[in-house]
Amino acid sequence: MKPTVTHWLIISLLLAFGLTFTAFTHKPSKTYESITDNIRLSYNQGLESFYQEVKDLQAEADKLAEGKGDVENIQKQFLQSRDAFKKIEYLATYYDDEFVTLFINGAPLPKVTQDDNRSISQPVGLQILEENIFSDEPDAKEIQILSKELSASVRDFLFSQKVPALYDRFVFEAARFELIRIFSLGLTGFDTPVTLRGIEESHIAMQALKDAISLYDELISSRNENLAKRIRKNFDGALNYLEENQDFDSFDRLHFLTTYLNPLYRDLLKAHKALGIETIDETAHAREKFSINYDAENIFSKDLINKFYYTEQLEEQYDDEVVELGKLLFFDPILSDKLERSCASCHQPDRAFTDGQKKSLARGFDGTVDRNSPTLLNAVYSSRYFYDLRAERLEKQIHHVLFNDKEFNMNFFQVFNRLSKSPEYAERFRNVFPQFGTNPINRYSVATALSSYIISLGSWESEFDQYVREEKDEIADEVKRGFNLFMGKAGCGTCHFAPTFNGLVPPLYQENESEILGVPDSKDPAKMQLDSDPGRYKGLLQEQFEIYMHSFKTVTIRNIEKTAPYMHNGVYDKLEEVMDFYNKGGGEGMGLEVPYQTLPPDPLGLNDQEISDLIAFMKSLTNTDLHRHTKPEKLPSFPEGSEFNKRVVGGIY
Amino acid sequence: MNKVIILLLSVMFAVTAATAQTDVTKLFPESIDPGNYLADTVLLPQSPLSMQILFIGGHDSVETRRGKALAKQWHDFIGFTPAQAGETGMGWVSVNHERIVADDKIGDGGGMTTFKVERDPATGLLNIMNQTLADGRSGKFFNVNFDNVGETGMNCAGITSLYDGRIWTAEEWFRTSVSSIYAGGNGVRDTADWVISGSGFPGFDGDTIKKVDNFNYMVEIDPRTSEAIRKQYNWGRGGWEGGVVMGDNKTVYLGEDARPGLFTRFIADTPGDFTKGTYSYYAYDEVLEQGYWQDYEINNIEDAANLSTRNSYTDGAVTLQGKPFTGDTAAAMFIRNEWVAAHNGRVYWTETGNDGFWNEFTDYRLHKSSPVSIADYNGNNYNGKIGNWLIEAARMRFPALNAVSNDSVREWLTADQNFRDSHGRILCYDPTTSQVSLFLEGGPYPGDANGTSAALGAGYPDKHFSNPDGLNFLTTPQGKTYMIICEDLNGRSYNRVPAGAQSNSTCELWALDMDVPFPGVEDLIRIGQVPLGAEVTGAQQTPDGKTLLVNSQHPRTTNPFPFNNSLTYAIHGWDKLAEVAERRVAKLQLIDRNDVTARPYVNYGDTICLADFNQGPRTSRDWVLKVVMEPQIIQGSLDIQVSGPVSGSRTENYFNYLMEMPLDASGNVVTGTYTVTITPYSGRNLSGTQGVARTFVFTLSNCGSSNVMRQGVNPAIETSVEEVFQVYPNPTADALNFNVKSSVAIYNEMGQRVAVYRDVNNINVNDFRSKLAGKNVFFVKPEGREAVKVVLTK
Repeated sequence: MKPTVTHWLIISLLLAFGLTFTAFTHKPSKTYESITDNIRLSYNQGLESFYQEVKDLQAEADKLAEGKGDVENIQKQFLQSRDAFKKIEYLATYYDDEFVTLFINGAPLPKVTQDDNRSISQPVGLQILEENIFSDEPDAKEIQILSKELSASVRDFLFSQKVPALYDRFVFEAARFELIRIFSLGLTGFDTPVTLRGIEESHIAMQALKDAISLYDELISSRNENLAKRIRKNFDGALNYLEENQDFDSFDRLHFLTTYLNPLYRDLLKAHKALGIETIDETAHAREKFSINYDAENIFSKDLINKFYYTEQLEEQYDDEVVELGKLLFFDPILSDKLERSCASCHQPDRAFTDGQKKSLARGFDGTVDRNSPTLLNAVYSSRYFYDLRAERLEKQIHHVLFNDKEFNMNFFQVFNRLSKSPEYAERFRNVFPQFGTNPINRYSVATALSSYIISLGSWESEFDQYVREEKDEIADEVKRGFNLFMGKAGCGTCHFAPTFNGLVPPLYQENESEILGVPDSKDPAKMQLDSDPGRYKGLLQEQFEIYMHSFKTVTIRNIEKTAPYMHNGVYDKLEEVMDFYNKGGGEGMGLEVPYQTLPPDPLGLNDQEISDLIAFMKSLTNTDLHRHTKPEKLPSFPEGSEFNKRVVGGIY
Repeated sequence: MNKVIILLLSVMFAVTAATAQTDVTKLFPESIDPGNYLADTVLLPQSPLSMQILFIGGHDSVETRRGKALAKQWHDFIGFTPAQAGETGMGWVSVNHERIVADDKIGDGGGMTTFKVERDPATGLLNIMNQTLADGRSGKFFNVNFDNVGETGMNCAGITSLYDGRIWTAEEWFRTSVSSIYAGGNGVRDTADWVISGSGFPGFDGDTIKKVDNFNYMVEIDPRTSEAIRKQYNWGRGGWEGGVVMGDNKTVYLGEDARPGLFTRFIADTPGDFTKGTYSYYAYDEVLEQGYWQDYEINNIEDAANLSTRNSYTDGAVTLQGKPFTGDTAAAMFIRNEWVAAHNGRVYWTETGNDGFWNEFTDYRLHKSSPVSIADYNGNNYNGKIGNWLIEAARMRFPALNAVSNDSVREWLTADQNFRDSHGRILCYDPTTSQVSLFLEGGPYPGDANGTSAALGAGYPDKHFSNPDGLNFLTTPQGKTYMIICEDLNGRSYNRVPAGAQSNSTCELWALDMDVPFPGVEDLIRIGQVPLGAEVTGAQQTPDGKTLLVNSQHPRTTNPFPFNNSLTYAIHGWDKLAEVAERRVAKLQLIDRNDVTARPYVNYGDTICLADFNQGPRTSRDWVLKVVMEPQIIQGSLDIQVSGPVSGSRTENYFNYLMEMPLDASGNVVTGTYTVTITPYSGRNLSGTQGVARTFVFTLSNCGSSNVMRQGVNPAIETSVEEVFQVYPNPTADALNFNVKSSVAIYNEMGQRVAVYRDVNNINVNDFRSKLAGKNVFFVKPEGREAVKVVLTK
């Protein structure tokens, strides 16, 4: 019988049916719905376990306070509590980092409360407990109070954490942020300063990520088999590496980053997208800014961090024209009363936007200003400006310089007046800020233009960045060793957080820390005193608390090779001197009296080779594109005969 | 043969469908076919409310006695002083600037700006009028000159007198040392001692005091001359934030932002003269369980001969700080009183709450069960009182406390680590009874230790109310009064914002219809017209009730200029809400007419238990469906259709829309599943424009067996009613409300996914409008259903 159409139809139907049937019998073992249910239940169980451990810790503390306890037991119970926390850390910090930082796992330092009625609150949580439980002479009463408080906080946290729903998107986002956290906080020993269990704890945290993501394995496979394979391989590899290399000092963090962490960071993003899960952009207010660019594939990506998160300016308004205008203003001494100085006077492009002075020259050569000029390269990456953190947005910074009688000694009206007299400036402002119609020269536009230029100075183009991004194959061994020391034994990475290497706190990089180091006023050990600069204490009025006395913003290590002298007062001329300061334990380590010093006062025990390696690493953070920062050839002109036309690009001094 | 094919086809499709079933996800397709949507299109008209920017801090310039200067920022309080007969324009606006900043022209410390407005008869907008003041200053914006009273600072909230619009500014944030106001030269630079003069108070003029002691008072200013008049030394020195001068022009209530804080009262001897009168603080008798006023003398005349006593402003007779919380007549403790307002003779204020535990209350109170050694103050033990309003609040949040006595609750509240006041509340004082009561508690408190909402993954509630701060009232031209509440979140933790990175952390601006009895968080109406991420602080209506003046204090998140600055703006259109009465959104309650207990709103699919209603002799006619419209406007009508075991319908014109449940032939209410459809109309008797119908489905049950839930969606009970997903526009904000909590994806005109929102009751178009590329069409696709097309109209 000749095959008819009907026959073909039946056959194809049967084939289709067969295939479908096969697909049906080989149905995926989990639907999306049950994956998140699964993870949610597991998180809930983890929370309960953590609470139980903390309650047991409280019981041990009560025993100790009654004289019936055993320090060894309580130490063991404490470590169990930490392990239980690390299992749930990725979701707990994702859902409520604020609560975790305030009450469960914050730094063991006093804080200022954030409400209107500011006051000092003493540290609570696991880290201050660690300090107490592992001290040479544990204070049983103190431990009892702290563990009771922790127990109550975890109780409240547990119940409040019952509520939030879990969506697939949360799992992937939390996992990726946790990878950054493991890299920049876990492996550096940031939250285990006494017991230094950063490696073990990172293993637990990593395992939790693997457990969650592996529930998606089949689905990812069905979209992209290679991707799924790579993710499995890298999780296993990372866990293996953490198991086999437990020594804190010798752990090769650079290898771990390039071999496991960055590939996982990239691949989890790919998996997120391959599954069609919605991204942050699709769930946010159209205008709300987020600090992390979720689409960045590498932790050292140029665009990992959204520069516009810190600025009033919007990305849509940022273009070459506004940068160009800002650059002209930056180099234009018209902003200073006597037309002699510009921003570039203290922030010179060929000195990585510093001036090589201990403290910058004051106006009229009348002494100096109060502090050392910090680099503007990558300065945008900060939530606050000035060493004393008194300006809250980049756009607010210019106000202080304008008004300061040691700097420009001007006011906004004078600036507007002058600029509007130049037809070229007027036209540029009109073009860049059309929304202001006939009055485009105002505080907003001047500040925005200048800030735009500063934003353009943000770049992560050092050879170290290029190496981590695999744009460069090789990097010197001493740099590798130096990085591992930086992020390990030397503890630098616990204040100069990677990859910004400044005080922005990972994994969201939304707040800039300040620290009390005990910087002296002189290099000479015989003469040195604690430098009298009050720092943050005299910044914002709301921050006038003793815990901020002599506290200064943690600035970036990037380009440090070019930004001598160092520290807020420029006391050190060479990196070796800086290293010596830290190696000794800062001010307190050198015998000065420094109340509330946040830098641990114990010597680091670094030998000469290690110091040399650290310096090699720091030097590798110099941008390779510094040559692109040029001065404008000329400044906008004024009508013929105007004295303003005599001004010099960049100012006279 | 054909039958075989059909059979095979159907089996294949069934199997495919089954396969597809295992593939059914909570994930939304990345694109849809824009031609394939439900036939009904939803029209989303623009809200009748609109914004107008009036004053931008740091950008607009003010006229000072020393020339023009850029205005300060950190706008907080707004006061409005109506023009009197014979004066032009509508009145004067006074704005506080909270931060302490040095400024040669404006003056150091804080400050205020004033300007005069009139209503433009053509556009309805407000025009800022040019003025020439008595001292010769001329222009639009003026700083208030505080030179004659010794400068000012921390100007947060304040008072607008209900009688005549006199203005006081509150110097809130309590300072204790001169260096703390000097701020390294960035604050108040002249720190020389201050000699009080011209204040008009007996016993204060002529005193020389430390500069810091000249702060933390209420300061009266005159917006007409843009000058300070006097500091109210006689109202005491404290962390004052809000206050109100009542319509009798004599009685003043003040709230202190402290932990614990005071609630105080001043009654002038002569109306309008606030330099002489009686001062008292609110105390509480825990035995009689009632509050009362305890007189307190603010004077420094006590020892006229002894100058050292007279001049001890810091911890002497003038400063309150903690002193009233001592002795047998100790004051009631409040946890951060913020703004104070009044309506219909009653005083309302916000108690904003505090993160962390209440240990400071323990410090101010003798621990009865286990006495703790507490530092004495001037020889008296601290004995701060806890009022019944707080006990009620605690019981609402921790139902287990209902089983114990009031005093046990007090013990529990002040014991370590029990109570975290993460959300705050609004309190009410009734002068006719002298009692304070709980008006509106913050929340909901998802997942408290006593498990008030223990459902795992229940998600963020539709309405969430925490840390109320600014407070005022707005009465529309139609006579409807709303309480206007500004949130100022103390933190994002503890479920105060939705979960997930990049969640909405906006402090909300709420309106509450004052006719709603037993108001709860569910009754709040969200006002959408606020810049993203801004803390909306001051809220003040214009006398004609059409406009709400609002301050947006320096927003943390960023917006395009000028919404990235502190600014003062106006929300117009409150009179227009009545014109769009058909856009009201219906909410449903089933109530017992004789029972004044508050009832929850009916959610789609709820089971309601008859047994929960009060027992006692009554007829079936007591079961009443009550429809609450949002916003409540005394306009228009409703078409109510009820179908179920017994059906019925009603056309309802009268506000407080009620309809008796339909009864059977014997006159009984019948258990079973009911569908109620409510359609609003703009005119009476179902005339005018028809609005969007809203459908409610609920099951009325005897709830005899123990596994049947009280009011709530009971998954164990099978309903034969198919869930209907409905979308309807929200009139006050550019938002779409959903019938049921849903997860939806938004697709643009081309069918591309642009946004996803999960487990929400509504979505705001402004969240994704910029992703629509200027088009006025988008699709809303709920999980597992067809998309709905939405068209934005004018």
